[in-house]
Amino acid sequence: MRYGDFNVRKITIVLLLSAIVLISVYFTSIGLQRVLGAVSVRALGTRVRSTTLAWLYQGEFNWANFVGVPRPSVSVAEAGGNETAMPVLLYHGIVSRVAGSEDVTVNEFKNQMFALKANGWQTITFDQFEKAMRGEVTLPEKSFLLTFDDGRKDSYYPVDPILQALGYHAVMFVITGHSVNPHGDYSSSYYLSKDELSIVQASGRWDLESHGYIAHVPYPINASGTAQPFYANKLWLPASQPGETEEAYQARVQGDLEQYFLHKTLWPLADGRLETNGEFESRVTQDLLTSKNLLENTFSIPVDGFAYPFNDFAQSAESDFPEGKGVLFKIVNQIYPFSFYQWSPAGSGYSQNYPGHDGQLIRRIELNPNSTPQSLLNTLAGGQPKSLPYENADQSTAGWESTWGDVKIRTDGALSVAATPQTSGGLAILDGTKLWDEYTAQAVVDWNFASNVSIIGHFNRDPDTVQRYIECSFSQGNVDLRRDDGDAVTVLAHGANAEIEPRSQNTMGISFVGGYAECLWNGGIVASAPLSAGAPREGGFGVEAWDPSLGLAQVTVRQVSVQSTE
Amino acid sequence: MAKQPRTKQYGKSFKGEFVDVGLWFAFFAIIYIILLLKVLTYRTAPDNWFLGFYGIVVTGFIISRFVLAYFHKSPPYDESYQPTVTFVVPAKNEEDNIRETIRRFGEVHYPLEKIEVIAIDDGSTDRTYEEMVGIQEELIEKKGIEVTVVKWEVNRGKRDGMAEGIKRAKNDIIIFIDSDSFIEPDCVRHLVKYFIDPKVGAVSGHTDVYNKDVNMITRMQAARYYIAFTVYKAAESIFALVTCCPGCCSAYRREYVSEFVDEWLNQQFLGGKCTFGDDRSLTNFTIRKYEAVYSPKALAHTVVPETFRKYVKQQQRWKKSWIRETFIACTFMWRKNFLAAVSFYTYTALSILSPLVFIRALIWYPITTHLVPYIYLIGLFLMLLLQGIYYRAETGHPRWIAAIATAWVNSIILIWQLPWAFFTIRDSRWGTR
Repeated sequence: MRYGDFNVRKITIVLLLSAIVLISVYFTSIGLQRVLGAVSVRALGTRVRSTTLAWLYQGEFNWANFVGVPRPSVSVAEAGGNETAMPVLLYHGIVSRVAGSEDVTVNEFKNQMFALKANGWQTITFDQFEKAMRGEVTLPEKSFLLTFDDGRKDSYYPVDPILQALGYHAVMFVITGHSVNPHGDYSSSYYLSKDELSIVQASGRWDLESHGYIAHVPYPINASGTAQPFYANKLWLPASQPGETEEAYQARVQGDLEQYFLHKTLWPLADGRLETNGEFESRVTQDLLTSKNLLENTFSIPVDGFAYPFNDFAQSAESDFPEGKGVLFKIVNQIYPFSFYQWSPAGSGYSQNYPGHDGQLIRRIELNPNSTPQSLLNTLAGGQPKSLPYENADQSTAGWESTWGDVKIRTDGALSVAATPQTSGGLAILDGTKLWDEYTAQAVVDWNFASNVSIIGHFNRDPDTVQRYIECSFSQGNVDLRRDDGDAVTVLAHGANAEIEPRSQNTMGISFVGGYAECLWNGGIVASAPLSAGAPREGGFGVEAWDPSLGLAQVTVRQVSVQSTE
Repeated sequence: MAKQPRTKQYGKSFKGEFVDVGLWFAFFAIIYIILLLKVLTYRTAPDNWFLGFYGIVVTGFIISRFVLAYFHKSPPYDESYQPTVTFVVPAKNEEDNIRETIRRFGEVHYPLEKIEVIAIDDGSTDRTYEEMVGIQEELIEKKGIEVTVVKWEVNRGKRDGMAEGIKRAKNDIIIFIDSDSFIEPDCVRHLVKYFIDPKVGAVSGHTDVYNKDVNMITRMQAARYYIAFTVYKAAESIFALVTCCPGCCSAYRREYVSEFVDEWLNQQFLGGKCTFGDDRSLTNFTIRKYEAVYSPKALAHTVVPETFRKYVKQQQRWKKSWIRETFIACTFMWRKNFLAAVSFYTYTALSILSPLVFIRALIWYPITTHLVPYIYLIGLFLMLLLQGIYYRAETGHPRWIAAIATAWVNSIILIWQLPWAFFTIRDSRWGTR
């Protein structure tokens, strides 16, 4: 080191400057932390990074607006709006590369949010959502609730800067057993930790709600170990072994997650059986309560929302305890004012939630890797309540949803309702029509191939797939006015008319006036009957094509026109 | 900061000193911001441990260069030690500059009777030889300096020219000056003063860019040269292990280079004769046994490429020789001073990794995520801004922002050169110069 001049002066200067810089860095990080109210230095890092990104995203958004980058847009009818329906969006992971069917890429998510913002859509908080659903407040049109399931790291870190840039708010449904488990996090590389959730909560951009405690893992439901969702099934209690203590037995039933069960005495020693009803109720209640209490006590927040893990509330045929659905709903509704499930684009009817008409169970529109800004805008616009009179010659953005068969928009803007190779027909429902009650709805239909074409009114559908509606079913020379309650079909009136025949184009309709239902063929009434007691008195409009042969039925809907009859 | 030569052609007033204080404040403010960002984003920012680690090492390395450079010492010139000196100038087609290059040897503040000049005309097709002879007569007549002009009808290459100079030289110290470089009168004193230490085999002078204000390309090179000498070479010099004493102005002890001149002349790499990076290679031979230092007061000026195309070609040659000589130096550096070895291997690793990190940040990341790599670009920008402010504070050059902006763009364009040089390393053509 003969060419280094390490004299006292130089060393002092370097040490002094280093000290000044390092102490400044130290105190700035502490000071910023205090000013920002973050939980730790790590929170600060998140903030700085997030704020920088948010700032840049905002610039990107404004720049695109400034130079007029074309964005997808869909017009939403002014009348109605969120006074009467509330869309809820659901995302899971926001990732750089799509790995699962639930993932959406960061860029795609950004584009979707930018498109929503540019089209005037605005998020609401969970509190606003609750008040709106209870009818206590009326929110501006184009309001929506943005939700994320599972409390994954990748549904927070890439998302938060985008929310910040757009002034958006979101809800995170947390699997509390993973994220705020008193026994320690067991998947912390994937799920947000308790500390991270404190940061999430402190940002003011997020509400934390419940996604169950340890219910997001399938459990054995029979002796061979078939694993099924926790809330939707009775669990299998294996035979106890000779000399096994009750404690050891509990541990064995609880399996790998034993240490995370808060309650060690759920089950008595058994000789190989399913849980009893009481055991099921007790287990489910404890899990739901544990999750809510953990969130409320850890973060000092109210928790009123719960999302069903696996979107499963025993609605599927695979459940070993289908009657448990009623029990489950009862328990959930006692603990949580609102619970959330997935309305998925196929087979679920209306996509949005109607204050005063819907109960505690909330539909969510689930986004997937194929979603685009345009498809999202279409779904939102199509699901908004439609006011009467309603006319539509272009079906592409009308909001048609399939509940059965093959429903699609053709390139000419007409709607095709057809059977799939596995079905005898198809059924399309016009979203956003749930609140229609007294109306005449007519559709111009190409009767291409179908033994029966039905115009459907007063359509209602429960989340557990039961459909109830009134229909005018047209067939060669005949019309049947029927009431379909899902499990039973009643013919209210029958009409014979030689004019009714499968021809290229007809106007078919259904009308509800003063407790009567009527079927219309090219404007003339061909059947009429009073609605029997218990029949649905409100609900929207749909079209069904049916033929006894599999995969052949197909009709095309060209134009829809609906008038109020009040 | 580092006690470095100031090229005070822009003048300093009271206001100027005031600006200086502001600049140094800005310099430390940027270090502060960089460190603060590192602290704040330590656990969340890196997408993986590798990138996080890489970022910390790069930051640490660059800041440590400034600290080491600050401690670099330049011994005083001792009039009692005045070894004899031979200037060696190989030249090809340099009719515009060669006369001035050689003329300046007669202006030095050094006993002229101890000076000898050897100019080699390496197969020029212009009037280089005539210019050499012209200045030869002038120096002999007016200054009494012995000047030898060697004329080769056929071009043999710069390395042969330098070797010829080494073999013909009679004096103790050989100073290589490029045919487009011009020395300041004090240059010789500050080069030879180090050779009083018998371990020293080579001394690098400080070279500034002569044509710095021609355009953006030359301004940028001026900034790069300045940082490369006063920070990176000064940091290496603390350990007396400068890895490249550039051909534009460097001195070697004749006794030492004579030991390996033939080996160096016939150096083979990957089965081909080495035709460029002669200076780095000569330094590399020297530091195996001896020491190499940097003399910040031995001033010279050199002409740099003025077009982007020529600049890229020059960089390409330098990168190739860097790969070759670094590979060779890797085999013996570990035996040297521990800190010097750590610095050397760290720098080597970072240089090799930087294109990979670059590709990941600017190509792979945007393609897979469709996001702009803001964090990487901001980091790159802050690091260059740090160097830019240092350059402005030290030299007062008014166009530093433009220079640094160009450097920023260039580092993005030129980062490809290292991998490209790696794959084309066996192509030993010079390209148009």
